[in-house]
Amino acid sequence: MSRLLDKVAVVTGGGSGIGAATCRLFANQGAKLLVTDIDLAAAQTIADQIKGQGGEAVAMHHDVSSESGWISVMSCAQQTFGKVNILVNNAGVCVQQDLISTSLQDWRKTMGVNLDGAFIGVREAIKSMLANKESGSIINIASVNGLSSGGIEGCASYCASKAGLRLLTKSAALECGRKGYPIRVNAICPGGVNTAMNQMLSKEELAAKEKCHPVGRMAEPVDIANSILFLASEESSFVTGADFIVDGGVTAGFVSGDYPEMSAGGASE
Amino acid sequence: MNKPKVDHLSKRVKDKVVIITGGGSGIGRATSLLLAQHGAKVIVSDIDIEAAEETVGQLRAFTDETMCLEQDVANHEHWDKLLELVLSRYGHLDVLVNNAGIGISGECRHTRLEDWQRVIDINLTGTFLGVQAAINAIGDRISPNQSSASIINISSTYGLVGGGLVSYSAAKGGVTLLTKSAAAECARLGYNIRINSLHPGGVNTAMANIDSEDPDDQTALQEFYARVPMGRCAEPIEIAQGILFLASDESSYMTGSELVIDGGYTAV
Repeated sequence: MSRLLDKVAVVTGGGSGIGAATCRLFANQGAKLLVTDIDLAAAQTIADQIKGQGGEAVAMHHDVSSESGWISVMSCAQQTFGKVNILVNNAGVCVQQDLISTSLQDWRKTMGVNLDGAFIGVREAIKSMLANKESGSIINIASVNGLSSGGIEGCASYCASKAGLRLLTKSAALECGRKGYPIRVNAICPGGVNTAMNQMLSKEELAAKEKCHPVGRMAEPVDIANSILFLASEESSFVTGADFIVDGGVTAGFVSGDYPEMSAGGASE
Repeated sequence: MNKPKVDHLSKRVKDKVVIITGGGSGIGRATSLLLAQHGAKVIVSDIDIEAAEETVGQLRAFTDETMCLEQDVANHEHWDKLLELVLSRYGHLDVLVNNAGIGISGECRHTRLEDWQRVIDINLTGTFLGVQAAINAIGDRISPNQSSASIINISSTYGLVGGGLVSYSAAKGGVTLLTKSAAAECARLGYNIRINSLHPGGVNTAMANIDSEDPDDQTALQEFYARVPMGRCAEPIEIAQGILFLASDESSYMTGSELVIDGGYTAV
């Protein structure tokens, strides 16, 4: 099947994790890829894999917090493939540290990548997409930690950046809709995903994290990539300003079963 | 719960046994057609059997693996009969789409108790009975095609925000939290069943029930569209595509979640 036939997609942080899985899946569905990453070698590996399987892909070094970096990326997409249809703002960082030991510089680093980066990306993508006169889809990778801290301490800047990203998404969707731009903007909020971002956790922390997912496992990157594909494709033509929670039930409610049983007549003592 | 095994080169719900309630019209009919085109064996239920037969007639153009049944979703004996029939014919169930619903409603101070009860019975109790019947039918059994089962409850944007339709909103809000509670229960028990709600905004179906000759209706419709950032209502196929995603193994990590397809209505 070719659910993204002839579409051109820019995927940031495409060198690993969710980004890499998304690039591979998009290529399988007929898209042409601009794989960007702060780690050029990682992006190049993914682009080479795609080309090795007969797809079209180009890799590029990209610091998403840099305005000039974004302008180079968009002009590269334009020059190489002639247009941009899809942007996946996936690049992100998570630094775990207590709030009181977080310097303003640390805070700004997280905001620079997770929020400034997405903002510049959304802005530049809208400009490129309008120039193409084709429909566009922007997908921002937020997090369930943009809805609640999830009981995890030491992630204040990460949580704040992801919450901001959710509302940046809705505001951009509203603006595009009202102005009649053929561009949809949506967010995905993954729960825990089996990627390098979780490598900082100890074995015990990892086991605890898996246990807090009602389905008993963390997501594989492709679990998230499949939702991104739905939002990128024309199948989601009426979806804009939405937040897709892909979290194995984390935000659905009680997990462990050790909550108080209630009898039919009311709460037990 | 199983890890994803998605083959994008094949039909996306190939050989899955799917029940769609309210399959005789609107979103239900569009979903029946789309899922059948993607290889599902579709059982269409509707309180209007002639409408269900019409849907099945359209499906027969490309598959023999379909059937229909007259069903009042608020009647638990009808659910027993439906599940018995499906299990005896196909041996298992993979997907239930709780789509049947009614739209009569109005503001709180003018709502009669019998109208309230009818909306709650069909939209909320009917969904509960379906979820319960499906969980009992599927339980901890693993489907022959090794993928997770999926229950999709059609709620509404009015199951997320208020909007002048008191009984409809109460019922659809109930569906949202029924979904999360049942999803958490299945996951906790280790059942391989995902349960999610889908929230359409305005959709071009008979439920919108707009009289194109009535200027008041036309004004109301224009006012509603003006509040939708995309400036239009959805076509049933645009909702059906979301149902296909939730029915397929592509949504293997989604449970207890809300799929909002509303042209930006609740983003504002």
